[in-house]
Amino acid sequence: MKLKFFTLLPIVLLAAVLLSACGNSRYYTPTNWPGVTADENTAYVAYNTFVYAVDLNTGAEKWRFPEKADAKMTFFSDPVLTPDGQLLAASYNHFLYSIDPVTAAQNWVFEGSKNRLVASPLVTENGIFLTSTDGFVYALDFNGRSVWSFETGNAIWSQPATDGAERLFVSSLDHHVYALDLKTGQQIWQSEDLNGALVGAPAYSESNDMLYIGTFNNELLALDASNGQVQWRFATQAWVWSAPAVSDGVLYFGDQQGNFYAVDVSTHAALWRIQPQPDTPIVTTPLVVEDKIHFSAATNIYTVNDQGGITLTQPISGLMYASPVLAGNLILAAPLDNDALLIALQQSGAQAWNFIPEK
Amino acid sequence: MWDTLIIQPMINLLLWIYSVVGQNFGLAIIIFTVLIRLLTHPLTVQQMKSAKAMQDMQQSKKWLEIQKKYKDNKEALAQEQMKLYQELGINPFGSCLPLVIQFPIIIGLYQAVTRALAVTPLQLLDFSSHIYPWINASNLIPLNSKFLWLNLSLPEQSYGVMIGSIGLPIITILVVVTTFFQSKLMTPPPANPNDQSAQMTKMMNLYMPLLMGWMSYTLSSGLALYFLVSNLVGVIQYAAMGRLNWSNLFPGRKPTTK
Repeated sequence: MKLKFFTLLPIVLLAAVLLSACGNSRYYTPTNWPGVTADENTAYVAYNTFVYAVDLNTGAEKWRFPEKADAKMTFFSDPVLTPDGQLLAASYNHFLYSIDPVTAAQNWVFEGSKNRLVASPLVTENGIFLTSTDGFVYALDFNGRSVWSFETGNAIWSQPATDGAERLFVSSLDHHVYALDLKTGQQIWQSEDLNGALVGAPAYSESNDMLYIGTFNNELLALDASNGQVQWRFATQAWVWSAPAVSDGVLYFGDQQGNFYAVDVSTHAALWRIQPQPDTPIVTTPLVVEDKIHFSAATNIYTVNDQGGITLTQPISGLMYASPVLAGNLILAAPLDNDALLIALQQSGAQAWNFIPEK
Repeated sequence: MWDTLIIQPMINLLLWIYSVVGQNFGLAIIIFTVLIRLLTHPLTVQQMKSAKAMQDMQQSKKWLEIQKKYKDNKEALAQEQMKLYQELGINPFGSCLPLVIQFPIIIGLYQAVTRALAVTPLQLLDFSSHIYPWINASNLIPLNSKFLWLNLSLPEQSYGVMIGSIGLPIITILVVVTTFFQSKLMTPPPANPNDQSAQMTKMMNLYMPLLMGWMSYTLSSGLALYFLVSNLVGVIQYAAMGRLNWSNLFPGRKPTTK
């Protein structure tokens, strides 16, 4: 009997391991594409169990947080730098970590969220605004202490937007956009049901006090930021995942079928639409640098001019779902399924360096 | 291939049920599981019949005599066994084959439920790429993961029902109990309780509930709900065919011999 017990034990353990292996695939454990941000000298990459600081001149690792991996403590959203010199990293273990960007020492942890933190926090002079998949918006001071919180009807996957002075705009998977008082968290308005999940953040335009937001109802919507009323709708071919980039009265954004649009905010009409690679989702906000627009789709970063002409196609080994990030003269790309976690490109498209984390 | 043939149809069926039952994902999982188990019912019946025929053969006088006669000659015993199979019209793989066919369906069911509970943008992106164009998913997403006290997208360990200061993982306990009863009730009485396979079965009946319990506790509770419903449907299927072996639960009772 004892012998049978010990012969069967390895079989059961093996079965457990095999089942765990299934559970470790990207479809069965919460995972996402990497998040990137940069200051003058350093890029910060959040991916899986670490946040890495990478030297922008050499591509060498400066530090990683935490020092030793903890499987429950995973990071995927863009880290955020605060004006008082903190680096904020939101984790899927529900916690928001404040890290010293020079030493990687932990300053404080906010443990108030009851579910995963998918989005990056927004930092303003008034404090830190954190959205959570528990449906709450949390306002914190710069020491990580809770100031106020506000509950929406479903999970929030996007960073809030602000007018910089009084209002915070939050898009929720409950199909609504909320405007909140930045200082008190009181609701100013709630939009109508926008007929589709809002995965991306709203983009705020100060010049006309408007919000632009993409929905899963194959639309890009323009909302009056003073009352949340829908002012106009632009029909797209597929779901819109991310906030548009607003530049000189033009909205640039992509959809899930790989269409990339330039829409004139005054006429509400498309100036042009391109589809460089059909059926390859464009899920993040493009990067506009002067008259060039950079966006990622599938295994490429595309650079287009303001007339919609593709001027550069930069193939990247790995899936490019993360937004390209501008760091000085470099464009940083963080592909998925690539040994290199971060690739630095010159504006010409030439590779400056890549960062492969040591195991 | 796997995604196109198994996962995609299942995901879309699940979504369709979800839209029909008023966007209740818990109910959708229950109906979906019952439906799939009903569709594979003929295979279950065939598997049970083959297993029963095999069991009858092992308890037959003729087989016991053959075993006795060739106890020191394994090769000859195997040849005689094959002859007896042919004589009685038994396919030795008859009970395995339906199980092998059902296996990808069960795995697919598990994967469809897991993928539908997408909790990150990357998972949602994957999930959305499997949705057929005729399903209007824009209004369905995100799926409502609240069901009774459960948040189907989270493991129960993170929010178990509190009794005083103790968090009780109720669905996990139900999965452990039903897996135990299912194993006991659906295991046919062994021809020889002391032989190796009977001992293995006994140990599996002990380990499986623990394994399933651990998975229910650590993976999303939507899956635990699927395990629970699947166990209950399995027991009901066997009961409907009069194949429940109560003697495993109540040792004093005579084994079922239908």
